Amino acid sequence: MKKRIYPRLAWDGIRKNRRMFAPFLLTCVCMVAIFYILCYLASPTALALIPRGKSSVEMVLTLGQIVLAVFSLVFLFYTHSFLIRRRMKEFGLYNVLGMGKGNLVRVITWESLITAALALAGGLLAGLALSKLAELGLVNLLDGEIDYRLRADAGALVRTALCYALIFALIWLSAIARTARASAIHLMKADSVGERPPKGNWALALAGVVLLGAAYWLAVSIDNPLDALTWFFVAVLMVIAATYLVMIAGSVKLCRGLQACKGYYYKPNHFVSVSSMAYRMKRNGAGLASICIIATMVLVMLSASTCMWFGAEDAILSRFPREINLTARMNEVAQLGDDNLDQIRGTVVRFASARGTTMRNVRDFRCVDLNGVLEDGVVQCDYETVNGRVRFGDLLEICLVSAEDYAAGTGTPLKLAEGEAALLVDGLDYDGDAITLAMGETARRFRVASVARGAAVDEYDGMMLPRLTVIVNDLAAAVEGFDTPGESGIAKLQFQWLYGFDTGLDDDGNSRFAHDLDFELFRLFEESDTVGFRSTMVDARADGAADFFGSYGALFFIGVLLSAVFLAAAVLIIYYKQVSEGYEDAKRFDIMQKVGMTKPEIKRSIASQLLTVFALPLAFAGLHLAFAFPMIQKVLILFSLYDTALFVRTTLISFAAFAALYAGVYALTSREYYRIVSGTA
Amino acid sequence: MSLLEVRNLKKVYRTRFGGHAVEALRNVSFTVEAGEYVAVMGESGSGKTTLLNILAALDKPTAGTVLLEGRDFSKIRESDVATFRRDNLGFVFQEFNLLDTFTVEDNIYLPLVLAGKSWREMSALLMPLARALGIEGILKKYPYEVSGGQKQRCAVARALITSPRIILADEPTGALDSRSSDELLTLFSQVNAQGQTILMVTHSARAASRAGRVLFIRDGEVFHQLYRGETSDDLFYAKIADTLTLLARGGDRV
Repeated sequence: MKKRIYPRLAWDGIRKNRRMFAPFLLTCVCMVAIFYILCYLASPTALALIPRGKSSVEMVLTLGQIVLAVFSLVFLFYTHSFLIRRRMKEFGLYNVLGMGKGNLVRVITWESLITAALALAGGLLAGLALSKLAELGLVNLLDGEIDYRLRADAGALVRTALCYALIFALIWLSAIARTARASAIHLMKADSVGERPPKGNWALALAGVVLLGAAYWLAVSIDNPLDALTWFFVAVLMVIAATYLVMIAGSVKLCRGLQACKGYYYKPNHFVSVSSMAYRMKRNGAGLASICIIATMVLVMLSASTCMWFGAEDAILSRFPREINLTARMNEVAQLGDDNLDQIRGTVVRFASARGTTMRNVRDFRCVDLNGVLEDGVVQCDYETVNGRVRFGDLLEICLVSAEDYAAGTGTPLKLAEGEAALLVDGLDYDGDAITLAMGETARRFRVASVARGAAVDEYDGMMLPRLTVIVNDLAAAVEGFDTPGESGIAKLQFQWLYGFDTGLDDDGNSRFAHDLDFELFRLFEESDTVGFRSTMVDARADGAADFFGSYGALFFIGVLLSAVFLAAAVLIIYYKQVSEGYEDAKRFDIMQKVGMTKPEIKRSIASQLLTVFALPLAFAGLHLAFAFPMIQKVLILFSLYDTALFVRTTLISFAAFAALYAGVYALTSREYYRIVSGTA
Repeated sequence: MSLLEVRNLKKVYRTRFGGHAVEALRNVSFTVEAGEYVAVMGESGSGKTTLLNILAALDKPTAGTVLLEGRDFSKIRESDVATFRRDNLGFVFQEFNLLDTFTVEDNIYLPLVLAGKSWREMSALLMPLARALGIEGILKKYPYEVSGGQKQRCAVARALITSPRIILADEPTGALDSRSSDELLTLFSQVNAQGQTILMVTHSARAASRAGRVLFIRDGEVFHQLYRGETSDDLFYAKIADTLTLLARGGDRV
């Protein structure tokens, strides 16, 4: 056989199957392009353009690359299996006509080479062109300098080419393995062999329902943000597995159940739909589950990342209440006394006036932080002595604030009688009329004057544990005798002075101000014998905001980009599903027409099947999203996003937008399906 | 009145842009009486399939009329054609045309379900039929689990269950081995003996020799017809074979 015949056969095969090949190639191109864009944006070339938060942008983008690479591998394998199934018949014919397996392998190899070359070339070209757009988007999002020079990064190009060459190589190997295993007759029939009627496995269906229930329960029952973060991935895996089980086994079981119900099943509009759904549910179910999972991923990503982006402002304000924020940590409660604080305060004021800066909107706050375990109205702060092991989830963060500071800070006067305390709770409930603070044997009991929701200090570190704020008349008296370092040598109490003010300077000015003030305080610490503190930290909101927007902007960007990829994937799955089912159903509907089914009946049956297949993944995705909501909300709290209303809004808008897009895609692909079915019918 | 009356049927196919015209049926006329068993023979390209498609109301003739019990096919509204077909005609195809998504039982029920019959009525009809056709044992199986002969018997059951005016069979033995073919033809004879009218298109002389009358079609016209009368199967077979030979030689009317 002439050498040139293999590439010709391969090219012919691709050309003749373009209805199946074109979308596959297009997906490959899209994925390669987006992967290149991610690589490019994380490359030194592009990072140089980003003003702030380079490291977080790089980290998030690298994470995105990994996700995309894994997804590409799985997804391209999946869609390629549709392709190869249709090609098998052709290969079978070649086989019968005298081509050996070796020759077939060569045809497949050429086909893979052509596909890979087209995908890589197209993808990299599109990537190069679009990377500028993405770069503009990201740089603009992060308030960087925009220019219009076209850049490329060799490292990113090579990395992308290698990654996808590897993926294509794996697909090629699996196609060869498949062909090598099958016999000629098998190859000829590969396309027409229907799946065996699925039996519908009770155990699997039940396992799916139980797993889904457990995942949902997990999602709603967790109220600790840190747990939410760890369990989130577990819940995601459970939901993915459960979705597949429920859609594959559960749906078959449901169809079987409907078939057993004679009165329902033997009706013109149910008969055909139910039986063909049941028959193909094994594959159909997997496709639907994939669509559902992708839809859920897109929705979660979109709603969370938009919420992050639009909530970043609030998050920054709560983390950095003033333009300049000073946190001083003391060694003992005495250092929170006015004598000591006046010296530090004086230094700050002198520093500001020396620079000609007026301090406005001053915030001045003392607090004592500790951790403890609450049990029967007693907060045991020496929790190492509590019986049994203390789980992290049992811990509370306790913040002691003086009534005077609280009143000054909030502007609401608070009068407490002797031995009384006012409580603020966040993430826990308390309804006792007294509360005891204990450090080992030392204990102090307060009558509870009032309990309200909230916290006195917003930028309080952590935010992961439930918080109990105890407002007392005298801070020093409240913790007297507590002030002993634990056996481990780690202080159980933190004495903090929080001092902040606005300067009216621009971002750079604030940034310099904070930096210089930090240095000034360090000098004070070194030179003065009278002042005492363990450490000070000065943060400018501008610096924090830059980091925030760096990581949030990158996250938002990745969220939108990955959503686009997953959407494209979902569209492709739907398309392939419709087309491949169209080919299968064409014959079936042809028979039905011959046996006496009217065209309207056929149309109705098609419509009802399509609607079910359309609505099922969307409904499930909505359900998943609803149950994921509380969990994602807790995870967002870790990112200092507390605005539930905003998250509800972004979630609803994301869902509505997705549903509209999905409906559009479905309408378009359904048309293709009708065309195929009625073409032969 | 004859059960089926075909008058001056003509069918011309045109290529898509109206260029070349092919005459599939030139001028076909014949009648089928109730209770008759008629075979239509002819070589490939003689117009057999076109004729059957028109009789099945799947295709429209260019000229001429088809009357079933005096009802003109061309007068049936487009939207009623499928219902008409379902209620009056039964089909047996060469390729069985069973739906692989249905069990054998559900395949047989299909026309009745489409007609809106309840399950109780349907199962009452199925049992005696299944027994007569010897398929009671495989009702719960799927088409891919049974043999070709069994599939064709299921297809016959599907055609018979609506008690159609006439059964149209298109090469029913075409995909069967000789034993299954004989079984099927015997089945047709039995069904016919009970009064069922059958019109079968075939190019197997063996199959045609079991019919009561054989129509020969050549070049879009009824070329000749043979009545069995009192002749035996074998003798009738010989006569059919002779006619075919003549047909093949391109001779004139016998």
